[in-house]
Amino acid sequence: MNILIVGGGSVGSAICAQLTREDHNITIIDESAAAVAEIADSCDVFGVVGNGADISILRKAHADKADLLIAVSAMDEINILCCAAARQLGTKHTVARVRNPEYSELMELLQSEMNLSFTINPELAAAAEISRLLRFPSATKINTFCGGKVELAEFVISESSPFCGVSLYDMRQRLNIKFLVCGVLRGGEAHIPTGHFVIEAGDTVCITTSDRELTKLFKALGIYKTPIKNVLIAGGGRTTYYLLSHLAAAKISATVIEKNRELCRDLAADYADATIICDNCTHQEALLEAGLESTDAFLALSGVDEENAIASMYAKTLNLRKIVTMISRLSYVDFFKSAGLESIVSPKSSTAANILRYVRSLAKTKDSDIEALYKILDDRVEALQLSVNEEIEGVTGIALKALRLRRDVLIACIVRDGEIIIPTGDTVIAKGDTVIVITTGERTSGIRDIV
Amino acid sequence: MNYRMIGYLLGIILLIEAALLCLPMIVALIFGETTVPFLLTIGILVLVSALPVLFRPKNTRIYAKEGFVVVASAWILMSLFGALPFVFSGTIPNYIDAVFETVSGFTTTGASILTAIEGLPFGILFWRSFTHWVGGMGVLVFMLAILPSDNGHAMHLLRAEVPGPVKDKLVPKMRQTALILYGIYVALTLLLILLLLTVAGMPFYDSLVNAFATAGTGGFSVKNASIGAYNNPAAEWIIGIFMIVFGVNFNIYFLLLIKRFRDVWKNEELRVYLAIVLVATTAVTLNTLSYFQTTGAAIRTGFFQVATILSTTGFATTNYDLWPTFAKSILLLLMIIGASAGSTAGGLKVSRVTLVFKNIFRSIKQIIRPRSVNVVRQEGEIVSERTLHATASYVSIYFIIVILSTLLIAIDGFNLETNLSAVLACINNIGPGFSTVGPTGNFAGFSYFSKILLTFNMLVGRLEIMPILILFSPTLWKKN
Repeated sequence: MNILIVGGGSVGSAICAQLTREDHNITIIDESAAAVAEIADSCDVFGVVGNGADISILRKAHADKADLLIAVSAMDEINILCCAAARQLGTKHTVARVRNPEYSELMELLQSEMNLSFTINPELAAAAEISRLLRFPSATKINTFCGGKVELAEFVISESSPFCGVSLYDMRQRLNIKFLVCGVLRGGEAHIPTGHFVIEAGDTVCITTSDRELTKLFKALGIYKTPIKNVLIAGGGRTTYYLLSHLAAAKISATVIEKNRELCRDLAADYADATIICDNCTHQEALLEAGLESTDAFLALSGVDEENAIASMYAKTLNLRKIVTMISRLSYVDFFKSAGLESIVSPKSSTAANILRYVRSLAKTKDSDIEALYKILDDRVEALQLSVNEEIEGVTGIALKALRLRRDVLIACIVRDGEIIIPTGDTVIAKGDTVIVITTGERTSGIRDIV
Repeated sequence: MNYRMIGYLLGIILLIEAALLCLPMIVALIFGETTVPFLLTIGILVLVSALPVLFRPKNTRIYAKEGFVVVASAWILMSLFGALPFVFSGTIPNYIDAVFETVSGFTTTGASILTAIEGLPFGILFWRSFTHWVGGMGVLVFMLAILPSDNGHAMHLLRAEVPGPVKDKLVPKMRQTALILYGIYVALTLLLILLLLTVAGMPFYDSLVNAFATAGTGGFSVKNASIGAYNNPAAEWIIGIFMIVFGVNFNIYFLLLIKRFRDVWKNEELRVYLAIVLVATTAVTLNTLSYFQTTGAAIRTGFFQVATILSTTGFATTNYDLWPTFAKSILLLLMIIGASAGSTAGGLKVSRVTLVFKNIFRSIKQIIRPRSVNVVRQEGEIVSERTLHATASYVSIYFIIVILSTLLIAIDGFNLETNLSAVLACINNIGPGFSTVGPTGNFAGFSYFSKILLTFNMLVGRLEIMPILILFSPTLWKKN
């Protein structure tokens, strides 16, 4: 596909890197020549320097022949304008990143009026991700499939865990819980394990299971933490804004520290239940005064990555039940993970995964759809929710043990008529199923690709 | 430094060379000559490259410095191995001479140490001309075209091999860019062969080798008297025009293909390039009118000489060394300018020269009005200060190398005209110069030291200085 990407920031470059690997023809447009040069140096893309909403620039980037335009520049308005202009020039599909909550209604209108294919809101997605983490504080990362029926949870095996040195087969024998270990990250390398795989301390393990079973599993593993009742949030930006409505729904009491008085007023106006404090969240005194020592969880969600990391590291010394750090620059993630921060939420990485899902679904076949796509285990493994719409030769009606699956693919879960099936060798994929597939390979865009 | 990946890429390039050597071997078979020199060379190439290619490294990441090292060493290695058939066949028994001849071929220079060309084996002469065609577009571009690249870092390779001050892709995908470039190159070469065969009535073998030498803007000929030996005005016109054609930026042909005629018409470099051809041809023709019987012959010969020097090919249809000083001075100037960026030609490149002049005018403006802010534009776009600096330093290094080389080869005792024009002819990838190295002369008389120095000059010119300088710079090889 011919894809134009407007905006060469961290999201733009992450999407570029991913989509070039999937063999699309990418053109990147950014006003900064340095940003374009940096991307063109590391990815096989075409760079155009200029404003993405400028018709002459769009023409130069061949917007008339493009299949998709992805507008992820820093400005919502520019992004919307880009998409409108590109549609006029003949671009088939457009995607805009729109973050301002005030535009959310407008976007619904524009989607039909301007034929905007879809909009992405990274902060909204990040807020949802954080609220999931608060429900299961033991996990370092949680994604859900099938409207919350299936949980995909990541957690770290500690040295004191009873399952160190135990094979997955033995682990399942000992526990009477329906779950499947679908990926293990060890020493920076992702493995899709078989039954003989032996768990070691320090592994990051990814499992699929249902909501209720997950609690049972954490209890059995001895890492269960009671749900969070109150949180302290550093930073009152858009993520916090969206998160507060999640927290209100889950009856979690929230305290927010934000430096900017205007932002504080906005938050206070919309969320009467939350405590809003106008103070500098990088001051130790301010954090302690706001109750850092007694809170269940600390969420560092300010706009400055470094401040978030520093505050989180300090909070870590206080033995809180959960610490979540928001990091925007993807290149920082590895640094801060190595410094001991476990739950890192990155709005940009989930945005990139979201766009990837959309691009793949454009190339989909009729017989199956990609309903969700997550990048797990340090973005090294993909988890996809695929719907099987038709009978497919070589896939449906065959027991999994007889199916010649691709080596890097694992069927993690099958949802049939609302029932969760953790597959065994005898399980059969049928028409109408929703299948959750885990893969270390790339370019899975339909159920056909697993064989 | 990722040595294993460098080794892998170099192995692939040597394998490609082995494959390319099959063509002259077939020619040798057809003419009933011995194929042993080619078979031996192919065997050696396969042996040498087998190990690094079979063990493909896990870590395929390469950065700018590895890109430069691969490009520079690829050209050197290809020449070192490509010289073997000349030695094995006994055509050029001395290895240093053979390397000189091969580098001259790959870098599309066309400077020769052979005193008598006619009568040499057809297969060997075919290889000699074919190196021009291979070197014209570059073997790394060829590798990018045929190999699937799994990372974007291959851009470093393209950038180090394609000439010009600003390097850009034609389409988003590098592999497609390389394919398009080679597609245009092959199509134009085939058209030239066809025209030489039908319109000029040249024999098939001669059409082929002359087309290779023209397409690569090389200049090796299979006749002692170069193109002049054919006494064929039609062939002179066709080759003359095609030398100009191959000196045009290949992006122009791509723009023609996608029907962006306006952009072609407005292209600054193309206009300046064609203007230089027109003005130089007129001046040379007027200056040499008395040397010819008819005005037609004067125009034809004047145009051919201008085309051959400006496009840095190096064919000849007359001994222009006997021309008046003014005409010779024009040719000397054209030697330095060279053709367009992104073509198969050498020289400083028209766009670089115009950029230098624009920068000079800007500096003057700035001195007159110290607070004025001025930008330099090229092809309608603002040229970054970085590009301007790079261009200025490129031109300075270029002239430093020319002056030092002229000084060093002067030890051999030839006259100044010979020495200066020999260095210019080599660094600009032209071939013949003036006086002893003029169109009827050759480079055989130089000492080995001078030959090695001139070989270095040819490589420096073809790869636009930096890759070769970087390869020999100590900072690159330091551990930290």
